[in-house]
Amino acid sequence: MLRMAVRSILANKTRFLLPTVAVMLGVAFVSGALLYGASVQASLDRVRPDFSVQVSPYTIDKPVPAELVGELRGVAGAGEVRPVADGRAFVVGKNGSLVGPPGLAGGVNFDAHLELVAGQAPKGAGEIAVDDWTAGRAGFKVGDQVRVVVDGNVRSVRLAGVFTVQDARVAQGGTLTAFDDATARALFAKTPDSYTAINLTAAPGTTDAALAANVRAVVSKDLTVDTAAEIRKPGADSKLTEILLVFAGVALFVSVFLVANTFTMLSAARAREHALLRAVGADRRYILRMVLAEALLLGVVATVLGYLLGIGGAASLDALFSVSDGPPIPLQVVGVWPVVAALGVGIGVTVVAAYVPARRAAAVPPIAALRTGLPPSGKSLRRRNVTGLVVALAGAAAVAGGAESADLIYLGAPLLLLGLIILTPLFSVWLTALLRRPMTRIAGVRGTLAVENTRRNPRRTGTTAGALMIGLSICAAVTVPIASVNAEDERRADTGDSADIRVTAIDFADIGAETVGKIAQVPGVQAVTPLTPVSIGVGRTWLDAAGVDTATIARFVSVKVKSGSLDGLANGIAVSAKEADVHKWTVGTSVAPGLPIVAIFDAAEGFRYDALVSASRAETGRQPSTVLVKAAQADSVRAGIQQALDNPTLVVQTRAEYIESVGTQLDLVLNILYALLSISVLIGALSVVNTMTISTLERTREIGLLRAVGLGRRQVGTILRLESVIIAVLGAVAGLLAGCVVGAVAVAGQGGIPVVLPWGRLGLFVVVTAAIGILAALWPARRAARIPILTAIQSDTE
Amino acid sequence: MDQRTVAVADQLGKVYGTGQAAVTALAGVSAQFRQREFTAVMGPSGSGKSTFVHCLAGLDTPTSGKALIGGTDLGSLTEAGLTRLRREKIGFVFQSFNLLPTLTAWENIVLPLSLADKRPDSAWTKQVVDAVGLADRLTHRPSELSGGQQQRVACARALISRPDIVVADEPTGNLDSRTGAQILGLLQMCARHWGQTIVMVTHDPIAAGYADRVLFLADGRLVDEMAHPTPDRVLDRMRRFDAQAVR
Ligand SMILES: Nc1ncnc2c1ncn2[C@@H]1O[C@H](COP(=O)(O)OP(=O)(O)OP(=O)(O)O)[C@@H](O)[C@H]1O
Ligand SMILES: [Mg+2]
Repeated sequence: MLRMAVRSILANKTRFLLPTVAVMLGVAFVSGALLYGASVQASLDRVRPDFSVQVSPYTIDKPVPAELVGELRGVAGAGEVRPVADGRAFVVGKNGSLVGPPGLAGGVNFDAHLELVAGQAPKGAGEIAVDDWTAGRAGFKVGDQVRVVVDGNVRSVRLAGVFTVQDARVAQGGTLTAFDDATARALFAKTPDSYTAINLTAAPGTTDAALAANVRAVVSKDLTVDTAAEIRKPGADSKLTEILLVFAGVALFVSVFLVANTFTMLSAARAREHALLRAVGADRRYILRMVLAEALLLGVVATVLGYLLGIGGAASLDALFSVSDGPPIPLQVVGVWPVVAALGVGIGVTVVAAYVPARRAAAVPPIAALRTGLPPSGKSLRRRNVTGLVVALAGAAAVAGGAESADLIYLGAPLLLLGLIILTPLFSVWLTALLRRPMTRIAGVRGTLAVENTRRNPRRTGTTAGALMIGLSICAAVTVPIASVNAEDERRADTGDSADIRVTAIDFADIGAETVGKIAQVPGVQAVTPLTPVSIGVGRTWLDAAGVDTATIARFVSVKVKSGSLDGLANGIAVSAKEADVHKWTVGTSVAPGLPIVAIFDAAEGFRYDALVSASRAETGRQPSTVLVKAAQADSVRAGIQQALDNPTLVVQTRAEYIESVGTQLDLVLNILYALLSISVLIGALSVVNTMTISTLERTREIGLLRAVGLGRRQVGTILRLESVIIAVLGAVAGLLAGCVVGAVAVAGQGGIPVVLPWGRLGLFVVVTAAIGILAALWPARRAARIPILTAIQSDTE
Repeated sequence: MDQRTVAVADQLGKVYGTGQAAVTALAGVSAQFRQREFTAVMGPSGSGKSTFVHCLAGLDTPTSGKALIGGTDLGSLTEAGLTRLRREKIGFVFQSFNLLPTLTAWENIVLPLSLADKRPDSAWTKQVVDAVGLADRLTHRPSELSGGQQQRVACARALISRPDIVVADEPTGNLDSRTGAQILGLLQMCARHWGQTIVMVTHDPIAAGYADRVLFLADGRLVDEMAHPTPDRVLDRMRRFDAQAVR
């Protein structure tokens, strides 16, 4: 049986090529994602905690006193006791931009466990040491002046040494900057005579748990004592792997269509062969097993190729997504789980997809061997249409319900999509009925032929278009919400202030205390104020106040003062009318001890603070979230501020830039999603190529006849191109419609955000699919045009 | 009556394959086809009849000799030129599978014109459609027509562009004798009344009886020619072939 399957596959190489490629891409996607995830996890697992027990505060605002170190040295079973002061420190490269991802920029006190590979330990506030990977990629040498950003302030320091270390941050591409003990404490610890944690190693013969118990006995209740095992191991960010797997699933789902279509078309072409086998005594099971054996073989080949491609994919993923520019991650080439998953997915998808066509092939009656002429036309579409309609309506109802309860969307969207996929043959019949006249008018009899060819087998057209539809519907379903949110963000970017320039910090970074002062010095700056979030306790609730420069705030916030005046703000608080109403406050009421209300205002829409106070009321260490600047020449002043700050962790934007950046914040996400979906769309495109190839093979005689009565070689291409564009656009339109509905409902379900349909992008999708259609016909058209007329006419195709 | 020559076969030869495996299908056949002449081509199976008409009509390229239609040497034409020639100067009727299943009878008939983006000449079209007797079936698809009706549609298509020559390869091969007779009568009428030149391959002496002359091929050679054939004379001639073949 297997030998027969091999022979059959070799005889039908052209027909099996594309389904193999499709399954291969899906398998590559799955195994690439899993191998990459496993490799990252393995490289993190290699970073072992270098302590047995760690003492750290329960809440980050509590210090770990330095004198505890001495006490702990005396604890029974304690080996090495190592105080740690760590926090965030960003390293600025020679080109002025940050080295490594901002989320993984660490700073620490230098001690013996950092193994120097060059230079010396840093001494004093003017020196640092960095890890060797960072020094290498940034091109730093011992003795260089290097800039680091801590607490939002840039400092230029001398690189005293380079060390090597096993650290989770560094392993993931982050940076580690070491300062001498006093400097690190000053920078990172709550008080200069405290640390952020103390690490202990157990003396030989003492278990971690025993040591922890001993330590717990001496430390205060503010501090927590954990063994290394209790502290969560740094887990690889599995999100990337998960996202990749989701999209791999989509790609595989699309492949199912391609494989199923191929086996269906093949069964039709071989109906007589199967009937002959039946006539000479083969039973149904034999035919079924024969077709499934072919599927199995195809699955195995696709899996092996896909796995190899997946290894390549995993290797390039790192670079592709610039997930980390950390030390090279040794790639795991085999993993139990990736291999099992690849085999299961590759073979499973193929066999499942081939099952229905195989059963249909087995059902061919022996008498069919004697029939000549056209094979029996397909079953009526009625049952299929009814099923599709029911599923689609159920899906639509669930999606509509999604406006109330978001969870229903996750049920409804796939159902709706499935229903529409089942209905695609019906759509194809409708669409082509509509298209016949216009196409005939535009392209003459060539148009008629193209439309008629797509109508011939609505199931086949439907399945082919369905494959494209899936990818495009997801494209639309993610584009609509993101476009809506972007548009809404842009609308809300009006933050209720009239600043010409805004300074904000990138994620994980802060605006330093010196920032406001530095900005004020820049020529052309007319006024500056920080906006520092200050929480003021009022009874049991909190008032969200903005800590501002009381002298200049009136120039930034266009508040309507209803009573009182902002003049006395330095010694009091201004509250919004809303809050004043809630608490029944009037001017003069003391909100908190020593904080009388000096004004009640109506804030502009978009201003998200309830009150204004002097920035000096902010707790120490609380950084401004934004610095607002007024300047007549926004553009040149912005450049001046940028130069003066010279800090890559700060973003300086004019009002226009800010609004634009807010409106495009999610574009990066969208582009990544498109990149991931492109594989599915590619497989959908392959499905069009596949169908076109097989249909032209089936129609060889017809094409020969057309050529005999005077159809030029090139015109053969025209007909096939029109045909494949119709199929592709059918898939695009159905997919985009479904996707837009789902996306729109998802947006509506969030409440408050108006749905924005990104017409430009949707149009672009249609154009792209039309282009896919044209490309898809390229190869089949070439083949068809090359067959000599007589060979074509005499071939025994339908 | 002036009988202009519309097609010429000049020492047409065709060899399939090379070396040991070479098969000579045609070994230099010359013939002339004049206007309003209905020629039947006969001969045993494998004698090269199909190859001859295919080469004559530009569907196949001869390996030696040449074919001329309306004074044009087919060998001198480019691919585009040949396509155009097939569309305008030649009409084909094959034994079966003559029609595109997706087009209606009418669309099939006017196909050569549609492919050239030409409008059908309504008077001529009406004449052709009336002659084949399908006026009430024009909107039907081939699958809704009988074999004989399908062949008549094919004939109408071959005639629609008023070609120099109509080439039919066993057009009645798949039909019963009565339906076949309708087709043959139609072809004969086209030649007699419309001045259409027709070349028809057939195995049937009765079919050959409709023609103005018969060419006999054997082993790729033109071995005999008979003017004003009757079925009896043709049958007689063929018996002699068989006798020769047995000997
Ligand atoms: N493509 C081909 N390759 C090789 N040999 C061929 C090819 N086509 C035809 N022949 C050979 O050329 C010879 C003539 O074939 P042709 O089809 O012209 O015969 P025919 O007279 O039309 O026969 P029939 O009455 O059976 O249709 C035969 O011997 C045939 O085997
Ligand atoms: Mg023949």
